[in-house]
Amino acid sequence: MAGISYRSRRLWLVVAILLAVLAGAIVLASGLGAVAISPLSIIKMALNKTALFQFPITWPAAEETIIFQIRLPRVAGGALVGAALATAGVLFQGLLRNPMADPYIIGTSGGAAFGATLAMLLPLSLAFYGFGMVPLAAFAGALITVLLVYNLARVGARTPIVSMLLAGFAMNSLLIAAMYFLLVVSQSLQLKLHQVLAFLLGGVSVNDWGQVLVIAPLVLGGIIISLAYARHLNAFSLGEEGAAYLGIDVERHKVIILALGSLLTAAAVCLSGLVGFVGLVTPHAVRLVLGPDHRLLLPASALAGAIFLVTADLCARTLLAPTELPVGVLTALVGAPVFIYLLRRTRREYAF
Amino acid sequence: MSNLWIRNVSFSYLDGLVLKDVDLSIKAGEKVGLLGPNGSGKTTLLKVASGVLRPGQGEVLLGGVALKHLSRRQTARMVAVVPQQFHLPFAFTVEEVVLLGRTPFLKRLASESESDRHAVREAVHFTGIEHLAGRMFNELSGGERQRVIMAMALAQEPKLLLLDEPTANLDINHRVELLELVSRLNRERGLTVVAAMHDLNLAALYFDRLVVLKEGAVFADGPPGAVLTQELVRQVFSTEVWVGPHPVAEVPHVALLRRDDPEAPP
Repeated sequence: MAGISYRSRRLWLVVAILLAVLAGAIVLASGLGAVAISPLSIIKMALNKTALFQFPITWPAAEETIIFQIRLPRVAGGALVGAALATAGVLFQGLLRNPMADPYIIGTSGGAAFGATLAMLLPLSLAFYGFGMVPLAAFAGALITVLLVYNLARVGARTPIVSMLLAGFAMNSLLIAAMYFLLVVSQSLQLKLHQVLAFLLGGVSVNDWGQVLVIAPLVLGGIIISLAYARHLNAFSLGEEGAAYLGIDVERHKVIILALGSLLTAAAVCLSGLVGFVGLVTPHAVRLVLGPDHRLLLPASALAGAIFLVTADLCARTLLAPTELPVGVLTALVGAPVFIYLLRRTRREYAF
Repeated sequence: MSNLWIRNVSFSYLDGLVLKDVDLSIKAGEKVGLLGPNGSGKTTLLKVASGVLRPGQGEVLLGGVALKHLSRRQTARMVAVVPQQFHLPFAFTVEEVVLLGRTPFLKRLASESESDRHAVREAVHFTGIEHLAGRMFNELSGGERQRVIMAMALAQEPKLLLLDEPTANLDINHRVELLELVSRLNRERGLTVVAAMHDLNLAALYFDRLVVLKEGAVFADGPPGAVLTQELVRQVFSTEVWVGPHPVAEVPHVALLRRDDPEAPP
């Protein structure tokens, strides 16, 4: 039984490695684009910003502007979206004990899509720290739908997980249908078809620090609080009854975990629309490599999700430059084969 | 100390009364088998005793403290439950599963202390599953899984162990093996044990006191020799059986009879 004492050392090792890879991905992603900037310059620029270092400035001032004003906000936004979706995926898969669970499973995608299209339709213009109506309505739509699904599934003092999955599926279908209905009947919306499609396929639409600074506390806070529920999620692997036998206050912690997952998802949707696959596949891939213990799975998935999306977003904007691909298309194109490979190779089999 | 008192408990689901004024007092260190046909309320009674279900009327006291005054976490430090089987959707190792038993003791974000590790080592040793520690739980046989779940329950360091038909899915070898383990826990650790059982003979062989439920009420309560009679089985299970002495042990033995057998009493 030596494994127990190794566990926390393994956790720090995994986190350190993934942090290093994430840092590398961020530097690489900020460097590539219409103007290529050497990674070394970027590292020096960043270190100079800390005021601890004073490397001689060997790069044009314009490059510093490109890095700090244009590329880094977007890369940071991508990292936040990836981390949020992967964490939400772990939370939903763990709580619902369902391999097909992703951040959108209990209605967030339908709610966000409907909210976003509604916002495009209404002649209303509100802005909040650099967020327009569309992301705000998507955020609200996602959260309101989850609230609705939760209450629809409720039976007395309990909210059975199966009812919640079914209610989520029904609400998603209903709202997506409502969205298509709007799309078909409204001519003004048809003119914005491209914008609707961009939202549905997902793309990191961050162009200044304002949006990042609003979403970052939500995402980072959500992830940190999620880490405190790792044990609860482990216990939930035994089912609700099993978790109760292990001293988990099932209904209370179910609500907390659902709320955390939904908030993380809504925050991500706000920055990027409905990016698929990251939240489904990252937790599976990490679980296949590192095992199902949520104390390791949660932080590792958050970091892996960030790495995945930063890389995917880099490819999305550089592969066919100057045309930008929807990042959701890339996450599926890259993610699916990697996932299939892991599934075939691993000895930690799935038995649902 | 850890006596369990199920005091005038009634419980109903939305569609009807399941427990009717059940009053049961179980002394510390007792080993009680719970018998009764399907739907007689055995599982509900165990859930009420574990604190997972709150009774509509009456209360459950553990060592003199009413469970309703304890949090789930506090209750789980005293009561462990072994169900028929656990289904794990993810590939946990045996070691990880046993470690889950420490959940009620662990603080948020903290890693296991030496006492947690000690409890896990003890549980693994006692149940004899050292050789399985690194294996995947889902790859084990039914008998091995139940031993692992026993180890998990044991890692909870409970005073009361509740088992809900723990042998239902096992072959005879693993049934006997599991009940020997339960008996050893009861004998060597002084653990109070209450187990719902389907197999009347195994119950007679391994439990000193049998409580029989019929339609949610206690029908009989006493040592196997006094409780297990032809008349009781007829009344509770609506089945004709032969009951005689066990050929080896000093307990009653129940033999089933074919319903078309001309020798069988009407």
